[in-house]
Amino acid sequence: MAEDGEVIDWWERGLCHAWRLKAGGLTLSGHGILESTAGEGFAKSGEPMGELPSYTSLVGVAPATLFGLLESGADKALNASYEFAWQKDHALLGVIDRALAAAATGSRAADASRPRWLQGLVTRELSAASTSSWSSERFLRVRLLERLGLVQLDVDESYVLAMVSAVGPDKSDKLRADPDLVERALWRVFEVEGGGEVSLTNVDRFGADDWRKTFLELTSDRTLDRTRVITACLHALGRDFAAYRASWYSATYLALEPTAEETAGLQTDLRRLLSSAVPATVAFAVKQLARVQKTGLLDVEATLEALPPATVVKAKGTAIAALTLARAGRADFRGLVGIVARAALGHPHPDVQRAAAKLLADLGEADGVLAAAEDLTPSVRQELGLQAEARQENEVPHDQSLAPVPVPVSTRDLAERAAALLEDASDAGELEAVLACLATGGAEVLEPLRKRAKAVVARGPQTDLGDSWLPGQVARLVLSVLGDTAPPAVPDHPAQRFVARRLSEIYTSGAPLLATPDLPGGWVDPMAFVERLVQNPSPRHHDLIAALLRLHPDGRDDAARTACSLPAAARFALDGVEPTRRLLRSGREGPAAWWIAAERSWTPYTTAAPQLSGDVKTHTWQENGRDRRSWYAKFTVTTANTDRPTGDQPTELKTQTSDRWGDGSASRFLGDWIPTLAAIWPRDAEHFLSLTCLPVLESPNWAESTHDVPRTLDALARHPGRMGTLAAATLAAGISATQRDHRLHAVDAFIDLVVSGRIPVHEVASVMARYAGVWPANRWVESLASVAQVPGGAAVTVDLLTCLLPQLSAEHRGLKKLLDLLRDELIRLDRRATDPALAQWLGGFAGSSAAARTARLLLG
Amino acid sequence: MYNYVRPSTLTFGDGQADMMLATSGGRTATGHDAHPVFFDGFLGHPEQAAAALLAVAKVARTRFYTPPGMVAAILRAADPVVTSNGDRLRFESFSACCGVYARYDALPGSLDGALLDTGTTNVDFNPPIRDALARISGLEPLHLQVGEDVAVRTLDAAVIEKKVPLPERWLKGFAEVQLASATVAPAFDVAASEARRFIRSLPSSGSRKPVWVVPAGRGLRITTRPTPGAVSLSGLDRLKPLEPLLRFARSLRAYAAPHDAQGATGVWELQLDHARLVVALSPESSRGFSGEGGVLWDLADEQTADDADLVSAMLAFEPRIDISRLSAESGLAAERVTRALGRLGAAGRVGYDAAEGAYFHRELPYDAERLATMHPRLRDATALVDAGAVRLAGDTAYVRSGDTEHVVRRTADGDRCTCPWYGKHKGSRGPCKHVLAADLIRRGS
Repeated sequence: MAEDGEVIDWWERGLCHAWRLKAGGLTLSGHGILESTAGEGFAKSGEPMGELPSYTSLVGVAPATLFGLLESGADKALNASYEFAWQKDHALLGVIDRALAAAATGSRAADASRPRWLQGLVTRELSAASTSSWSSERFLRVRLLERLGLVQLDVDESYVLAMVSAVGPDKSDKLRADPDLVERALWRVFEVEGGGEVSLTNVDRFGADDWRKTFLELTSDRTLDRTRVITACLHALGRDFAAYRASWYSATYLALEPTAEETAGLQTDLRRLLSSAVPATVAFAVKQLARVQKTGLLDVEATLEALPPATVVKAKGTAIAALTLARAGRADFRGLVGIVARAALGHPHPDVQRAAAKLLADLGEADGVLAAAEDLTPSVRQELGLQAEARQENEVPHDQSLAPVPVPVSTRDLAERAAALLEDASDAGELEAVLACLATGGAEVLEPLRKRAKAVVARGPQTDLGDSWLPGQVARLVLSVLGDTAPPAVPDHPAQRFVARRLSEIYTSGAPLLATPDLPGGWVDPMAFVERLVQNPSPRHHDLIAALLRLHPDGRDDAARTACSLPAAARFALDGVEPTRRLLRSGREGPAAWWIAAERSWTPYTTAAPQLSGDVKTHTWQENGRDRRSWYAKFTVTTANTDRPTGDQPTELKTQTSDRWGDGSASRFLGDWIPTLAAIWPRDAEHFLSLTCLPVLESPNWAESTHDVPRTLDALARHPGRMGTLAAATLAAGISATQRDHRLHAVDAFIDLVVSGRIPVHEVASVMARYAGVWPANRWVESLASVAQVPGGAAVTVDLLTCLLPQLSAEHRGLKKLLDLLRDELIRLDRRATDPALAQWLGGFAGSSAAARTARLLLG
Repeated sequence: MYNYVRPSTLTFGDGQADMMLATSGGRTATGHDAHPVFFDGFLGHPEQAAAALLAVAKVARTRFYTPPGMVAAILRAADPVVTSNGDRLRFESFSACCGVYARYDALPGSLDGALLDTGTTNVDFNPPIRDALARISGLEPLHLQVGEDVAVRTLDAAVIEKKVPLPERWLKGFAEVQLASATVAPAFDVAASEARRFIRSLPSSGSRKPVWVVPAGRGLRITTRPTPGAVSLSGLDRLKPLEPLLRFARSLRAYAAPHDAQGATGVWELQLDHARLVVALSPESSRGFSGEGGVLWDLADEQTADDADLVSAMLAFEPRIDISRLSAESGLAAERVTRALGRLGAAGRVGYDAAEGAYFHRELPYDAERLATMHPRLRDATALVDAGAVRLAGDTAYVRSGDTEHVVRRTADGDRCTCPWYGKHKGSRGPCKHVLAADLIRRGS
């Protein structure tokens, strides 16, 4: 959520990069000041200032004299013509600098009144500096003009933020030399939040904490009253500031290192912060009050009255710390402590609930726990001897949701539905339905789409996929049907080329298509296939291949018996009997691609299946002078069907190794293509995954958004074919993805494929265990907890954890959360951890760690 | 332009907090008033009320979606709108991105004082007020004045002007969100603890693509599958405005608009002590309410315009507009009254309260004429009709737009068009200009 004007996260991370890109010659200095090497580009964001004359060198020069100098030098700048308004401001700022420099050296001009352009120019300067941290010291020029009496300015938000943004380096010296600015404006930084690029937090983040150091210096030399700064920090934290911008004030407070006595004197302000909407501020306040409590100076009663809101903040550590603080008042204020503890029972985290229940028990108020029993997690309920919430498991197994049979298109709705495909071609079934209609006529109704189709073709190069994007292929088909021509766009990969060729041959015959799916999951019913062949004895080449690959395994024998005359490959696809007259492939009747497709219609990949390998890699870099290191999983997909892939056999994968996006066949951007690629061969999901899985497998590594991740997971979830190594790994990576919305898609796929039994639990668990070192367990917990909420999901979650946990080390990070989840779900299912391998692993825990305690509880 | 007699203030003293909200413009029961006075009394549950007012103000200051190419652009926050419905006060705001609407309803049980008038106005919600509200601890009573005696004030203070640029799409969205809200039906209720669990688990940034929230056991689950009966939610962070109120929550109720796989309006209502905080979210975070176009059918109907004039004359800032009463008094069928209210909603003249399942009367204190004319699709459709670009052939209409003749087909599922706009949105964002033009011709023939 980016508050109006707030810098959002990706932008902050990418800020330096963006600057470099945007300004070409610009670089960010160590203090966050931009230095220009390219001149023109920088001028727009602020005049690179030369040495301004000092205030003391100009004191005593009458404003009228300075106005005269400004007027005398401004004519040229005012009368020139400019392309942009900022260029005029740029020129006038130069006039100001020259006039002030001239005045400092004793030059004089005839007295004049204030130039009309001056106030407006200064206002624009303040406005620009207050919203952009690209500026360096442009506030100093404004301030000098103000001190000399040339402009009158209100110390409003823009003024304060311009100072924060653009006072430049050596802030302490500048502020010491300008006590009026300190009194009028500096204290207002505790009242003005800022936003976008300009706030104390953001400027310091890219400026080596310059402002914080300035405040420390100014308080240490007593330019600023230290107590006033400390108090102002607390008052700022009490304002309605966003969490990101509030953090500067708590950090500055801590940097000032107030003594315990000083902190005790501020406890009223600290108590107000306990109800802050910013969790970090509440945590800060609880910690400081706990510090006061240790000194014995805490007003316990007042603190207990203010404490309940702190017990329900999101961070469990804060809530538990608040309960610990409350516990101190047990002897004298039992009633108030009870109120705090009862409030904490409403916290979702079991550890907070346990701590609150224990506090209530210690107070002798167990009834308070009973009243909140419904809100407690199953494990806490069980520990408290309350009846656990039992989950009714649905006995009906969860079925996979296959792609529905597309609604047939008629000439009446052909134009509308084709128009929709020009905008979004990601519905593979809809594409097939439109193709089926187009194959048998209806060209004239497409006339209204001519203009749009041309625009879509022209737009191709601007898309991530370039000319070969799928809507562009549809547009080419529309144009060719209308007798128009568009230059062909041949995709890189054989599977995409196959689809493009099939599209281009649609209009070469008026016979019905063979490959239009008529069964859920994108299958073609063998009987329908035979009937279509009867109507279309000379089938389109690519269409027949597509149909063979989509033949449903059931009902082939019956279809074969009803068929009279069929191409030999089609008959082989139905009855599986190799023609006796020609045993060698080269001697078979019809193109080789038909026979390959017919064979593939019987069995998924066997020895030629895509191979997946992965390793855990280390990445090291330097940040703020420190060595940093992270770990990530690197995957490689190896395919080895053929060295010479042809455009008419999409299941033959080129022999190659793909280990990064965009490499080989593993394109980074497939976009709308993914569902269509997944629909090519319903028999085996590994085929389309070999083209699309890498972005998903790498999704736990990076926060970067990749649109193909959800598309691949959605296509996998609906795929009716064999689920192999790639499928299990893709699913495991998906539930571990960095981005929440990617995990949401993976959870839905998991429910479709694992809860339904299409992918064995142990296969997913094996992949998770293998990459447990780099895929955070807390993401698994969140994903699996969501899975556990659906009928049948709790049992699968238990099975998966039963399989996974014994493969993890006892020190695995996040293990406690996984154990808690297992325990909650076992309680809900009224089951116990009886698996021998799991029991043995649980029995291996020793010591008093939270994980060890949960392990013992699991063993009962 | 807002004109306030003086800034709103919140002071602490004599064991209570005194908040005076300065008013600017709007309508009361007796007509236009430059500075209406609505309430003078105590607002119950002060800490909860302060948090709710801050949440409403925060929505106005927030851009939940920033289009590519617009980084950190600043739109000055519009001031909240306050409506006095005689027994309750409603504080409304609308986000800068036009996709999130927030309303705090202070219900009769939370108002201890005199409701002096009915009507709608803007209130000044300046930074010092926000800072002071953040300091309200709940230990001191909160005295609230909405408006004050201007005759006294204007003697010692000049009028304060606040220039806030309010883009056309913002005004339009603020009006249209009511119509989208009027299509919703209750989907589910969850207890406060589950509401806390759910909303706190939402990330602070979220995908633009819609997901669906479904009940699961006692709690809620998010799925990416379009699910009838579920509540569509795009931009998970857009529910975060509810978070500061969670500790006061009694329960969370959600309302869903008719199912649409491309996303639909969702209304989320946090039940508080004698109050409600309502957040309505557009179908996608990148889609503002301004472009939804759900009202275009009604606006294209001249008869609805006449009905709306009649119905509006009978409104009196009721907290709950009784359609059957209006129907009986106006002699119009209930359906026509409903359509008339839809038209009035698009003009910012009624709001919709999902909890009551009814419209309430309030007149947005913006230029009603400007609001009523801000529908470019309708404007374009009228231009097509005026240019003679539409010809009818049975259930099919041919609409020439530029050098393309689009085909508009009337079906049992609604009108369909061959234009790119319809291809992209189908009927989920109201009719395209070609469908509207064909409809205008049909109505006229």
